[in-house]
Amino acid sequence: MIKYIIKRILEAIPVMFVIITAVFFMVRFVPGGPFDRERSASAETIAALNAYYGLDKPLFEQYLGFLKNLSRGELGPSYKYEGWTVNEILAEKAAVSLELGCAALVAAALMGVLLGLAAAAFGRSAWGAILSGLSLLGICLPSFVLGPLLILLLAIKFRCFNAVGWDSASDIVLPALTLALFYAAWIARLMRRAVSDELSRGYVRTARAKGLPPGKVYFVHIFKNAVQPVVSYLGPAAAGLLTGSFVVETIFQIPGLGRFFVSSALDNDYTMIMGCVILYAAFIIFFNLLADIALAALNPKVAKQL
Amino acid sequence: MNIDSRESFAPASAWRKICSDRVAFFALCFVAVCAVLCALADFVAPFHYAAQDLKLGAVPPCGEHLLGTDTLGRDLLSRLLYGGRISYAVGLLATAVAVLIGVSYGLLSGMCGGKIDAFMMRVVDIAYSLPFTIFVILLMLVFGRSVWLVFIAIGAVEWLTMARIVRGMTLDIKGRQFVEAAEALGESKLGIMLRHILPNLAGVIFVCAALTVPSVMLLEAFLSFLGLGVQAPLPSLGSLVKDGAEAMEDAPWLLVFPAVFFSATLFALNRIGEALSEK
Amino acid sequence: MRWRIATFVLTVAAAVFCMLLASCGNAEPQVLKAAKQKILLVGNSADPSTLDPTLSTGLGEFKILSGLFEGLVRADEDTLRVEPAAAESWEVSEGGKVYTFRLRDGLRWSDGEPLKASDFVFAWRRALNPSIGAEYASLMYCIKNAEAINSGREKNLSALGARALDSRTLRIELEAPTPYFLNMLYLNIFFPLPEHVLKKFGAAESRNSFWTRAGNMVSNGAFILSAWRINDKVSIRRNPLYWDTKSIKINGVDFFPIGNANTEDRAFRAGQLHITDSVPISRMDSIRAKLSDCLRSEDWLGTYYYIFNTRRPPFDDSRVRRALSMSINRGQIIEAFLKAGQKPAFALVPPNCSNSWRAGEAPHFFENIAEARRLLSEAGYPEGKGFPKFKLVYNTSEIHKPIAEAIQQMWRENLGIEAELYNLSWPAYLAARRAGDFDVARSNWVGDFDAPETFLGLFESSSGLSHTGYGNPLFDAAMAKARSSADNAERIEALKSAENILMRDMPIMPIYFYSRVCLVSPILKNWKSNILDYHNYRNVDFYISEPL
Repeated sequence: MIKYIIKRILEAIPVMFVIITAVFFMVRFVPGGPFDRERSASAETIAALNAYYGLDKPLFEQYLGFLKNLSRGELGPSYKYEGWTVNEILAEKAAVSLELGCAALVAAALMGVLLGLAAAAFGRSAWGAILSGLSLLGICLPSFVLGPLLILLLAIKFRCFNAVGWDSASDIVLPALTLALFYAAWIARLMRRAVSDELSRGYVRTARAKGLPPGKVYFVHIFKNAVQPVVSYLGPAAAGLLTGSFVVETIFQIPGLGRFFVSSALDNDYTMIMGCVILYAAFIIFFNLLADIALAALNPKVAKQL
Repeated sequence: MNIDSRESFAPASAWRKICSDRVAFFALCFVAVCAVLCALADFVAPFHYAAQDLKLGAVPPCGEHLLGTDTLGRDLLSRLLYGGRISYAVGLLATAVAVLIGVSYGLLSGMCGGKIDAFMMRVVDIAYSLPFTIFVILLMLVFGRSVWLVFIAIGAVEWLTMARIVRGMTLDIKGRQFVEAAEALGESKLGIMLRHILPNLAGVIFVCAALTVPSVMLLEAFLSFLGLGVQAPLPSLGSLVKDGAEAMEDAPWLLVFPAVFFSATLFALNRIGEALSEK
Repeated sequence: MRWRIATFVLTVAAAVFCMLLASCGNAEPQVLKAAKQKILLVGNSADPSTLDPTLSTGLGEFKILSGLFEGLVRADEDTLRVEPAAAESWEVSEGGKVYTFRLRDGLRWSDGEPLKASDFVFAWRRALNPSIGAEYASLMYCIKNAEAINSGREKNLSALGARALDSRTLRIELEAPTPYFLNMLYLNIFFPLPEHVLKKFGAAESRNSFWTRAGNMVSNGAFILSAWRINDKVSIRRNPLYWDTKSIKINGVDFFPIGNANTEDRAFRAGQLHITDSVPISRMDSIRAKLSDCLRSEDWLGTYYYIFNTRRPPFDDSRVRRALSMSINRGQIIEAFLKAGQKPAFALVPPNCSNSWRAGEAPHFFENIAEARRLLSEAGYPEGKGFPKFKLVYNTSEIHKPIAEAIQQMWRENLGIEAELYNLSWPAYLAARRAGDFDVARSNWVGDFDAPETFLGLFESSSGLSHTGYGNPLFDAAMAKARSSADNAERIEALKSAENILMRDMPIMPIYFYSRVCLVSPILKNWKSNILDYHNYRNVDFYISEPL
């Protein structure tokens, strides 16, 4: 097992390397530079800034310099936020996104699994159709519609929550809910299909014929098998949730990572783009690994292959 | 998506699946009617999508404008039809791009096997680990802006899942008896790929594609939220929903109609995909 | 079995949902809580990218910095009249070319160190140091040798015409009598800097240092920086060592960088902001109906216009530019979706500039479709025939898009010409402008200080800020005359003739003069506003006892 984990981590290194290289050169093809501002007219000013940040050197030299810094764990200064390093900003924002993302992940898993179980249990009856329809709702309604609706209702009409911000503990509820609904919909759908597949398998009938209590069959045997596709989905989903969401963070004014994934690219903040890309890739690799380990724990067949 | 149906694709069986599921049947009818109406937008729409009446401004649904108008006095129904056309086209074309790349990539990888397969799958892993948002924004910024680019950018991201699934199934089918038999009979690799493996994959590809269309449409809406969607004054469902969300209190009809149309379309497409993947 | 399980699952789900709802409490709105602590909650457009007064360029940063630092003078928040601040008095001599400022006695930085006249000289030299690359350095070019130093022609920084005669006396020599010089001294680039602190953090000759962080920053204004969290908020709190801290009524300000107007509007309505930065245009009608006691709409020193690329045919022909400019209906655009008291613009300089710019004079041109068609056919495009399809570039915004769409339609209907809209992200838009990759582009200018020069200076051929490719020796001559004239009436006359030349050549198409529209909570007392959106937070207070 530990051998397997080490192997996976070693495999990730070339992947990361290719990603870093590709993005590093790609961002330089984007029109405009990091110091294009409305009033910085003089070419001398921009030249001074480029020289200050070493952007006037040949591209390959800059690349080597970046790799050298990276090997020390430093991503360099942000070009947009003067006086801040990318490391600092990402660390501060990651804490927020981690909190929000975990809450959303738990909510999504809970809602999705419950909804999927219920929908499968009702089978092809009218209730089943309604529940599986309900579970699709999260995929059908964009979060920039859902978020404002929740705010208007729960923050402005009923004054239960703050409309924006990240100060009090209850500020997590609305954004986490908005984020969770989309993922819950996918989980519910995976769960429903997997459970109905399991229900038609032979072992369920055998177990029931042997007189095992139905609750035990449903929650222990079926659940254990049916939750596997959900677990492998949760890997990438967790990476997506924990790196934040631009839409939700804009609507709820949350200082998370998600906004940097968009604003850094739009602002040509080169070092910040690299930081975001590296962070995301690391998350994806880590959570996929975690999901695979969890699958192995659930399923001895998978474990044998490791 | 749980795609492990092993039967070969037959239009008749797909049709049977849809017909046996009442909701899916209605969903199919809905999508078909909408698609036809949108395709014929030039003839059906009462106004041109850019025809303004600034003096009129935003008015709620009335006799002349069945779904009301937006702040520039443009007829919402017409904009919905034209916007629907763009969004359906985005969905279909991007999916087509994704299917084309994904299937050929997956097939090739699966057929070659060995080191080439391992290398090709590693490339997919790399692409998977790129943050999608940054990737699409950079693509848009580098190549400028056009509707066609929106299709291709989205398609270029959505092919990954398809490639993985197709590769997995190719490996599976490759080892079966009828393929070995064909090999023994001296058929070329290409012939085996096209005559024996591809037909067996068709069902899976179809289901996967049916589920890609709605997720592409949702992505287009996200890009519209960033202001990176289609160029104004051309509408898309995503940009209409986004503009509507901003005006939801003052002019609720601007949100309600596009959002209902958009969500109903996504719901229907998802439902069809689900019905098809049912065993 | 299925039914029992289904019921169980549904019950669990329902229970979770009820618990969620029950957790709601009717808490006291933030605006009241903050008012009790005398903290002002302000919506601030963009996230500050720096809080270094030398380097900052944005209006949102200016609002924060005006609370943190104090220049030689400050402005009255109502009238923008210049008042003594760090300087208690000053003398003007040699025909308006030499200013001698006398600093107040006992001025201190927030860390207790004495504030000396040399701190101003240090700050100004730093701003002009070419290796710092301060974007706003050109505002200082009225000071003797400033331009030479900033462009690198003069290597000796001490050649700058600003000298500390002793620790309380500052002597400034100008290149030419500049009647608006005092009006610039409350802008952030003229603020003093704590030399000892910048040296400690290595910021004296470097842009990128940690001195601007909360805890490190030392300032001389009414407030000190207490927190700066990116994308979240900037908090400033009372500076007990400020010389006039007794007359400041509030204890601090929290700035929230909410860029999205809809988000900001919702925050205001949920009771989380005292003042917003803007109002979403899609909500103007209902805000007017339901929040009219909060809605403020005031003049702002800014003009919204389109620029023509005069290097490219057919826009190298001033008849074409005039035709395009005459054929749109500005009033209709304002009425249809701006809706907030903006005024149609037929000039570059807003009429509220310097109290009343060109008051009572006839507009430079009129909207006249027949005349526009005549001009266009004179230029060789009768009824728009043969006019090439052209590129109209704008950056992503809720406002720019409908305006571009409306103008596109007006040109199509009135002149028979076809514009193609290009929506670009902000840096791509700037890059396109700089590279001249457009035919027509959206643009705007908000005055840095209250004088026509801040607008007209853009179109001098040496400026490079207008991106139109425009240059007219007559215009340059008029501007040069204005700059060198010692007599104010003569200066105004020269500026007017410059604007006349500009509007005849029409490298830009003025559309409207800005209004600042925002929501202000009724519990705020004495929230003043002015055309520069300048605030030093001296007057503002709360009505706490009165209910909302």
